[in-house]
Amino acid sequence: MLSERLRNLTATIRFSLMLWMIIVVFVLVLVTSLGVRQVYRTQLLEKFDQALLADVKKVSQEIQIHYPDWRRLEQSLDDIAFAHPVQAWFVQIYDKKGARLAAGGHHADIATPIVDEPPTTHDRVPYRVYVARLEEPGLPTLLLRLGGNRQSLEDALALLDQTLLVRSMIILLLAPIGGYVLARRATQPIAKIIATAARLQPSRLDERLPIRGTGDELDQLSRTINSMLDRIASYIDKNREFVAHAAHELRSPLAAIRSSVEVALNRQRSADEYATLLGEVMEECQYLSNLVNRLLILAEGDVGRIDGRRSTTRLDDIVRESLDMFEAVADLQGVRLEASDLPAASVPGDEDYHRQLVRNLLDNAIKFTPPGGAVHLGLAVEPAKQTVALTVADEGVGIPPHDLPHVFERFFRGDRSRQRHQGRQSSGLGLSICQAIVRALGGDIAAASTLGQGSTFTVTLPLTVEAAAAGVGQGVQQSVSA
Amino acid sequence: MDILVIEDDPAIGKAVQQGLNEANHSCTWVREGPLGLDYAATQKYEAIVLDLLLPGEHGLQVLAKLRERGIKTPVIVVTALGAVGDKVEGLGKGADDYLVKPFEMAELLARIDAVCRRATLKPAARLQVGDLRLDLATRKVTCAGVDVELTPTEFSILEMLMRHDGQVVTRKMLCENLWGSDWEGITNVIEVHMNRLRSKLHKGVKQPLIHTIRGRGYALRAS
Repeated sequence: MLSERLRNLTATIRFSLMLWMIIVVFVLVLVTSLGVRQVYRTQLLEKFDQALLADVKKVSQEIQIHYPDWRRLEQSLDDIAFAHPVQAWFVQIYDKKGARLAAGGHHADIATPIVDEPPTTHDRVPYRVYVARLEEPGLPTLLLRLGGNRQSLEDALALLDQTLLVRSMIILLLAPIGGYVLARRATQPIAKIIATAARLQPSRLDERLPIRGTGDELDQLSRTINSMLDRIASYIDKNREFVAHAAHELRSPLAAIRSSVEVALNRQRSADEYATLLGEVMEECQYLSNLVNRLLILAEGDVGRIDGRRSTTRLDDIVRESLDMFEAVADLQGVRLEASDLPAASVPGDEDYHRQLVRNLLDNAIKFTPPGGAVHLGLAVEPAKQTVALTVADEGVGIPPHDLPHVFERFFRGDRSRQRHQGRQSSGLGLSICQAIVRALGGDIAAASTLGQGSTFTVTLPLTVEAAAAGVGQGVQQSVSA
Repeated sequence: MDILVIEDDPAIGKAVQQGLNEANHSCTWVREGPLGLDYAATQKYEAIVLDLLLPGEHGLQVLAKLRERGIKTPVIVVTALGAVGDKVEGLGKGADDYLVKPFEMAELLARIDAVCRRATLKPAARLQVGDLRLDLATRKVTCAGVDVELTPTEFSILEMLMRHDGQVVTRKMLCENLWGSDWEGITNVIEVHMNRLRSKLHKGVKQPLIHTIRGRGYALRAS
């Protein structure tokens, strides 16, 4: 339980931000402290060494004054030592062979052998010693050893260490608190996003994440999530509408079946009467299953099950076949069915989908063209774009401009549908099925219309790779007139 | 004919069994794939009607095992899945035909006939029903000795009706035979062709040959 909570806590961004902050502060404090200490120490030693160097000059002057009276020299050296600020200051003078000639100040027993060497400084704990060769005119070559206790220097450094340690401790203790507060501030908008997102329900998608207006990454994240929510909400709305519409559409054949069956059950009837009623039921059943099949195509499109990778179709063959299918219908209605040359065009997708596409467009066009009018079908390959364009143009009443943007919506029936009310009303799904198929196959469908003159539907589909490579274009003559 | 039906849905299974029996077929109905496999392996059937969505083993697996065992009995796959992909897969796995639920008995019977004929008989070169003769080689139709000029579409419709002499041929069957797949729109594309065919055939014939059967389709009857 406790370990669980601990794990939950340590998994948060806030915790890791805090941890990183502590690590960074610790490293910074450590580096800074060591640096300050090093600089300070170097400066102290330099000062000390400069003082010793000055002492060398002073001692050399004293030697020149008193030479060769070593006793007097030692007295004056003791005077210097007495007044010297450096603790346990001492000086020793040797001749070239290493025999001591004079000494003054603190009687330190320095173990360093005196040798003929260039001026150097040595640390002989706790002393700092300066060794120099003295060559002055009128004097023999002398070796000088001069130094003092470094303790004051070490004391100063210790004091610095202490100060730095105390400050560092304070900073290190404050770092987690600061880190926690900062991390909290930084992650607070995230907490808000989480809380809001947790409140969202598929049934209630009206809430949106707050935008703070800072334009930072979290604002961008909120905006992205909001626009995603917008899309989801509109998708769900459309779906709800679709389901409601579909239920409504399914209800009328169901009602018809129900009433036929009720009539049949009402009283004893002759076999002929039963056959008629059952025939009616059968017709409604067929209508129902056709409707369901059409809804299934749309559903397949929605879940991405329509795809063009599995097979290819010769669109020109489908167009020819569909012309044959509707030729008699057009003839009966007094509509001329015209088609220009149909060039060979291989497009991705199963032929059943292309059949649906061409037949629905053709059916629509014939339906809305008055007797004496014509429906024109065209197929054009555009080698540059590797596409094929299928146009179905009617000479019908046209689609009002306010209806035009909606013609591909599911269950949309414009005013024009009501003009022909013979038989059953159309499902209002044909064009949306066309759109679903075309989009799934990577193409595009567009509608253009002039009131009173007619409408033109244009489908653009990509050619299959092989077909495009083969450079299709040799047209096959085909013309159907009814 | 002896027909094996592998179908788990009791309502559909019962209806199919009854329909087949009434069409003078003998029918064995099993509700599980493995059992069906045993029956198919041990008894001689002329056709198998196989549902795809079976409990336990999927119909396509049953089909694959059937073909693995070298059983070449024609198989008609039946499923509620209407997607093109399943159709392709089913036919790829060795099915002879494919039928989407809901289907009509007439359609199933026609398809059983078709797959059995495909498996055994050569297609006849000439069809005859009453006074009506149809020559498949010369594509000529005569009615009581008089030549009848038909469009290719009308010829195909008549051929289909004559092949199923006395039986109901549905609009869906005609559509699929003529143009590859059914037309689910409101516009009755078959009826117009049918009316033209009728008017050409019935010229000089007192009794109508082609009958419309409400809610089901059309039937050709000589008498």
